Amino acid sequence: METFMGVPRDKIDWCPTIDYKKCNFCMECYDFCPHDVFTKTDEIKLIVKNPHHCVVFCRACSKTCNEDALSFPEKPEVIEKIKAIRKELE
Amino acid sequence: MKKAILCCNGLDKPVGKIARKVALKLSQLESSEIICLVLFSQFPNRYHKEDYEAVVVIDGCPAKCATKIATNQLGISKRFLISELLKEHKLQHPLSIQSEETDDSIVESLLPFFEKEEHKQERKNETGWDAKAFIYQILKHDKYQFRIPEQKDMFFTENDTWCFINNDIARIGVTDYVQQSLSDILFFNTPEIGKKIVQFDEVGSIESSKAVFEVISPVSGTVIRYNAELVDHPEWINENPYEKGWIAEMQLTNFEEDRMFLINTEEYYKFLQKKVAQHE
Repeated sequence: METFMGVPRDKIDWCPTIDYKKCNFCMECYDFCPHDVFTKTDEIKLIVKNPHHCVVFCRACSKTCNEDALSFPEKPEVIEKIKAIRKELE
Repeated sequence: MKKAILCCNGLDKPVGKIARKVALKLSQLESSEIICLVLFSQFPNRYHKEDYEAVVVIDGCPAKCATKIATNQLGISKRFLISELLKEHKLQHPLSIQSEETDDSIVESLLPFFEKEEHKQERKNETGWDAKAFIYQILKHDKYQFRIPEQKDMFFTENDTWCFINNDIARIGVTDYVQQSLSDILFFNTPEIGKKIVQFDEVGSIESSKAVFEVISPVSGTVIRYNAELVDHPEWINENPYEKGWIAEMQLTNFEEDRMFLINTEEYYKFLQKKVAQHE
């Protein structure tokens, strides 16, 4: 099972969200991400297929986005949640 | 010797148009020369870096065409990215590439950030804390070798950053895995001195032609110093990211709590071993 800091990865809400109003489907993020987070589909061209493959706290794909179409959750909230889960697991 | 500005040509995106307008305004205010991006990319010999005392690069969007064209050919003194400045300072975005209605006010609100003086920092280690020579464990994987310092009071994150604790101060940096993944590091974007940050927040970033890597802080605290030498020598991070390629120093606020989320050399070795094996 994949974990981040001892917490199961699927319990951590950290992955990019695509703003389809801004995305121009240039596929820079798809080409950049080595973790297979994005995939191309026939219907909507680009989707976040594997959210839990995304490296927690990594926002590197958003830096490649010329349209500013990728956003991430607020870090402090995610950190608090990870801490709470850690306490539960102890 | 004169100053020069190289900017986005501003024909594709609204933020690019703003980059061009800011550049024109600055060149007027500071009597600097504008380097034509298209001319320079076609005829690099038209401009010589020895002719300029400083070259400021202004990009519009993260494609950073101006930076990419100038890198290695003109010595870049300072870089700005309009899309990031607008976001960071919560400023209004330009309406469209055609509409000029809000452009002047956006340019005016951006100008102070270009005039702001840089954080002044002595280019030496005031602590007398010289780059420490560490003893390393070596993780071998295919043709790669990753150094991991074997050092008491040194800890790591699963985001491939490290901290070395000296009383209530932590020196932080990135690991060998980061520098090898990025390959040649071209820029160090410095963190703000005095900024209070929480663990896992960003402490500056480093950039290669492949990607931008936000340096994830292993600890909570206040940024008290950064490695100013890296501004001129970002390649030091490639040479040794633990010794002369350290990133910043932080005044710690609650290391006991931070420690819960940190791993030691042995644990990081195992973590990295698994990580590189997955990427095959």
